[in-house]
Amino acid sequence: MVTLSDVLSVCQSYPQWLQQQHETALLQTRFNDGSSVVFSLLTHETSIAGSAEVESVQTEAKSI
Amino acid sequence: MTDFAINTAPFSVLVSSRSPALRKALTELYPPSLLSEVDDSTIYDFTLDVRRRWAGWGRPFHVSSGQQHFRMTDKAQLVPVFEWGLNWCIASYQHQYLAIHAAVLERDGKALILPAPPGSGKSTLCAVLMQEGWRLLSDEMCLIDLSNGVIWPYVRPVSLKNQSIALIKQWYPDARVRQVTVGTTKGTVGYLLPSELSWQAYQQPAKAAWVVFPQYQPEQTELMLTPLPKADAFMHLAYNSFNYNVLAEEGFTALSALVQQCVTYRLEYADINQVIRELNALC
Repeated sequence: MVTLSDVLSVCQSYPQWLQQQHETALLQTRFNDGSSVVFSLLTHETSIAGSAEVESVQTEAKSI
Repeated sequence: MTDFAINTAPFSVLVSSRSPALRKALTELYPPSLLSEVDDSTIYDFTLDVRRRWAGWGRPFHVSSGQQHFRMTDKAQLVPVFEWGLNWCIASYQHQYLAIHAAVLERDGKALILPAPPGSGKSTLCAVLMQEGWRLLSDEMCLIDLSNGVIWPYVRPVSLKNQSIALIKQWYPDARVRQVTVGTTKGTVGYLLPSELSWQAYQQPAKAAWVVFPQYQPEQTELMLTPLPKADAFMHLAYNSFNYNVLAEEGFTALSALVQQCVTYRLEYADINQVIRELNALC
């Protein structure tokens, strides 16, 4: 039988679990000029690593 | 029916059309060896339909591929709409290569990539560099091989628009601009024929060496060639890609390798002669 404390226990551990999933689902390229980009295997979003501002490429179809 | 094929490596395209005028016009733009009769034993990469859907000579042509409609056009604008349709077809459906909206030229075995949005002067700059002896790989599409990172040519006539047509003719009186069409959605459009060098090596890949993001700035007095952080260059290239989103991890890996091996710049210019000197000096 699932108790309330079990549910709370799962909820409390969720953020850490999520963080671990994200850490393993990122690809990072560090370029030879020191700059770096990161690709998320979960969301397919690309970002400049370490940027204070959010700069990203969303996965959107492009056509001409 | 006057079906024919265009074998502009790396793609072969079957053109299904009832208009003899289209094939005749394209003979001005492509070498005869690349335009051929349809071979029943060939598997073509794409089929582009260019036909009137209803009877009557006044009816518009419908340009489509399979079930996907691209655009309608009257006979006067058949050539530019066909060329755009070919670009659309490849940008939409090929995922063998990572494709970036960029001009590519080569000198001494090294490729220069010029990604830029419309209006940045990309095609004019591409035309000028070709006239100055660089080999044209493409004025529209940078095709990156996912297995080894080389860039494959996709040689086609350079699309010039509006004032660019007169400028190229003024700077290079021998330049062969054909099929000038007025009143298109992009204004007046004409096609500069690729140089002999470009056609001769139309199946020869090149290794990327430079990525330069050009921007024509008429008020600028001095050319500025500014180093661009590679992460920034990566993001701009990804944004200018037709299929980065489709290729996902594979696209990220290929683009990372390409940017890593290139020197990346932002170029702001007004004087084309300064640009020629600066880009020639890169080699």
